[in-house]
Amino acid sequence: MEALHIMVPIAIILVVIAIIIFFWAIKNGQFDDLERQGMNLLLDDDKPKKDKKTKSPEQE
Amino acid sequence: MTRACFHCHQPVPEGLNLHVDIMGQSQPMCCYGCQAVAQTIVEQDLESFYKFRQTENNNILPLVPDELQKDDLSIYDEPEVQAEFSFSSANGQEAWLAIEGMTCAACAWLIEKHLQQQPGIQKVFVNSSTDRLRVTWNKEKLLLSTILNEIENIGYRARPFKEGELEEQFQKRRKGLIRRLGVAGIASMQTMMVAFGLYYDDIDSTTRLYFWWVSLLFSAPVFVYSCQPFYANAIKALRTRTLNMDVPVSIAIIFAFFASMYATITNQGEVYFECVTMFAFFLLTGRYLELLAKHKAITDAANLMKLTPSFAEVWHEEQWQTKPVHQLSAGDKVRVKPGSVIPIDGEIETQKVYVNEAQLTGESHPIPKAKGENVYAGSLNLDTPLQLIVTKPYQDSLLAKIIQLQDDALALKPKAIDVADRIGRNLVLGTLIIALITYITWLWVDADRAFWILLSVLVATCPCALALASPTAVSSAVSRLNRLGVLLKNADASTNVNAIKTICFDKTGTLTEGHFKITDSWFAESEHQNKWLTLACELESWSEHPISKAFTARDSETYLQNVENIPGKGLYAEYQAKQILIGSHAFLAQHKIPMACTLPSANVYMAYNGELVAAWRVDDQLRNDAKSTISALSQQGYHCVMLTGDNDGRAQEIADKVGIKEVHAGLTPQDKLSKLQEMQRSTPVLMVGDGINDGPVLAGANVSVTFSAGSELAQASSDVVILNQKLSSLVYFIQYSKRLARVIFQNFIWAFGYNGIILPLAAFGFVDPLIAMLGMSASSLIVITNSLRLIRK
Repeated sequence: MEALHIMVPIAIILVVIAIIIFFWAIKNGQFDDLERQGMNLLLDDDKPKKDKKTKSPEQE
Repeated sequence: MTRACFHCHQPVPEGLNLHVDIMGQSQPMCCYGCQAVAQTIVEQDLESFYKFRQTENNNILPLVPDELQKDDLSIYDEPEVQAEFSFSSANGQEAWLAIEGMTCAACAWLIEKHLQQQPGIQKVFVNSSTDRLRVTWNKEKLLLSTILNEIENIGYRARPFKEGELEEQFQKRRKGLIRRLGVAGIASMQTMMVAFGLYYDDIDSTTRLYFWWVSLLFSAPVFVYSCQPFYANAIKALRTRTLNMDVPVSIAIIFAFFASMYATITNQGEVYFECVTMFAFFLLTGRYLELLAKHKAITDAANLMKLTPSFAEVWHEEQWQTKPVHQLSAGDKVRVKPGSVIPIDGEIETQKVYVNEAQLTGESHPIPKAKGENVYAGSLNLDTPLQLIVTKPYQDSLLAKIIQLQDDALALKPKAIDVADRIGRNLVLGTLIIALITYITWLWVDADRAFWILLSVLVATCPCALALASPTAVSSAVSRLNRLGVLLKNADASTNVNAIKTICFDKTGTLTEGHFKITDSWFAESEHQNKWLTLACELESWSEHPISKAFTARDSETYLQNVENIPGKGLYAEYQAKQILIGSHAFLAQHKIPMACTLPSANVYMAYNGELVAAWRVDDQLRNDAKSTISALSQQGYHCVMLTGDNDGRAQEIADKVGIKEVHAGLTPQDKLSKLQEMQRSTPVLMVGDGINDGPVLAGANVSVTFSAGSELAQASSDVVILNQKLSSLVYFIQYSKRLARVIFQNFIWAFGYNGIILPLAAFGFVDPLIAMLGMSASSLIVITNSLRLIRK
């Protein structure tokens, strides 16, 4: 049970940090367009691979 | 049918052979425009756009805006013009652009990636939910028109605009609400976790007290910060001496929190911190979803800034200068390029031109205008460059008047009474009175239990489920309809539609497609139909007349020599050394051709070697789902009416085809509105329309529906926008609204039933506050789950 006396304050600190990060994210417009960010993951993923494919013949 | 274009999904015309290699496969293209756009996308390594874009809505895929002349954009480079919408920041020049043609997040990504490759661009951010782009660029290295052109090269249309004041407020509120929601979410997780530990009986009293203090710490920010909107609303209501949902919500939150705090400090009784945080979180989620739906409507209206070009080319000090339209005065000479929107009312100075006033009058025909005649702001200059003398300042133009009329109608629009709020108000009062009576009675019976029983009554009867009953169902319906191609801009529309008895339709663009097609044909000899049609298409390809666009080229070979165009009348050429003619009835009669045609409604005739060989009726084609939609609606008992600005004969003909019995033709926007108001005296009316001339009548109707391809003005004044361009979506929208009403009804029955049973139990002290909280949460969960059924299926 003593562990709780340490863990709970740590949890509180973590929550405070989480809220600070959350507020910072809102201020920077990260929540302006929720749909976009999920799609970006998919779209950007392919790009580096393609870059290599298309650029290599030119460089050779 | 035939193959579909890979880029825009339109059918590829026969005989056309265009291809682009995309992701290692040769894909068909329907025109050079699409080919160029697709080529640009491939060259920029942006092919994953095709992989992830949404293709369910065929008609709103990105297309090439062919009516736009590229050099038009240079006006946005002039410093005075730029000062109207952009501003300098530390990184360079900054501006907001509104983007047309965006359909999903993949489009936003494509535009961002493409622009980032341009030298001189500092920062780009595209917001796909508002269709806006924020760009920062280096003024020395890059022109704004280049940026606009680059966006156009990949198939979208961007125009600068200025963010309205109303919108800024909305953004602030939205951000504030997300913050409150986040705090409530995180805190409710923590308090729930702690509360779970407290549910065990074998917890020792020191740990229990410790947990109580921890919960108090976590719920304090929710109580003070997250719940502010509820307190604010409650105070607002109390000030005006009314009651709303937020009054008991605030009372329950305040009581539960202070009672729990009291229990924690005195170390006796029960705590309900998890009730407070969860309650706040649920309610804030509902509020947030509601605000998002409203925000969408506001941004759509703000994007409307681009309706008419805000700038015009004026002859000033011996040269053409670009000036903002609102600075023009009567007597100024203005130049309008072909394909552009006429910026201001004026008198034509140059020779004959064709303009399309469909957006103003609903009349879909190109209208010839000779020197000295008036043209109106908002109409489209179709073919020749034109100069005009301004007759009225912009504020007095016909377009401005229509907009004014619309604003007036919108202000008078019959407002729906919020049933939930009205019932809630009485219920709230009842609950408060019963709670008070219970408390006083218990003070006599057992003073120690009185406070906890009061709390049980308040928590158990808290109209939480009641407050959620309507908003959760509406948000589910909004999101479901949106995925089906129906945008509900005003959520009330879905409730209002159930009272509708009469449905009015505009003709052009609503029942019909809004552009020319061959609807009927006649041939002197039936065996050579294809040959004559091919020749007609080739001949018409030389014409600039808008009707000629109905004859799309189907063969790239040429058969004709010495083609000559007589503007406004017809064309003649030589085919196998003999004369071939195409044109109006008058044109052929003038050439002494015997008119032996059995197609009475024909308006394009062709003659070869002195004899009539073919005739066509070129008209605005009926939407293929118009008839089925009207008959489905009539079967359901709706009275269908047509309101159109077009002339009587044509209106009657279309009405007969689709089965509409009541027709009012030849109406001005003002007439349409008064006709509608007349009908509204007997029953609520739903209006479907798409043109600028429908703006006022749409604004005045109880429920208004328009198409996303329609005019922006019509969209601004509508409650519902059909994104997939199918008239049949209207039937679906009505059906779905009925389902929504059913779900809301079920929710109310449940919420009332539960409250009705729990209230006496709580008042007589049979319900422990913990049970009351669980009951309330379960009741809310049942309501939410029931509402979510609307999203599925």
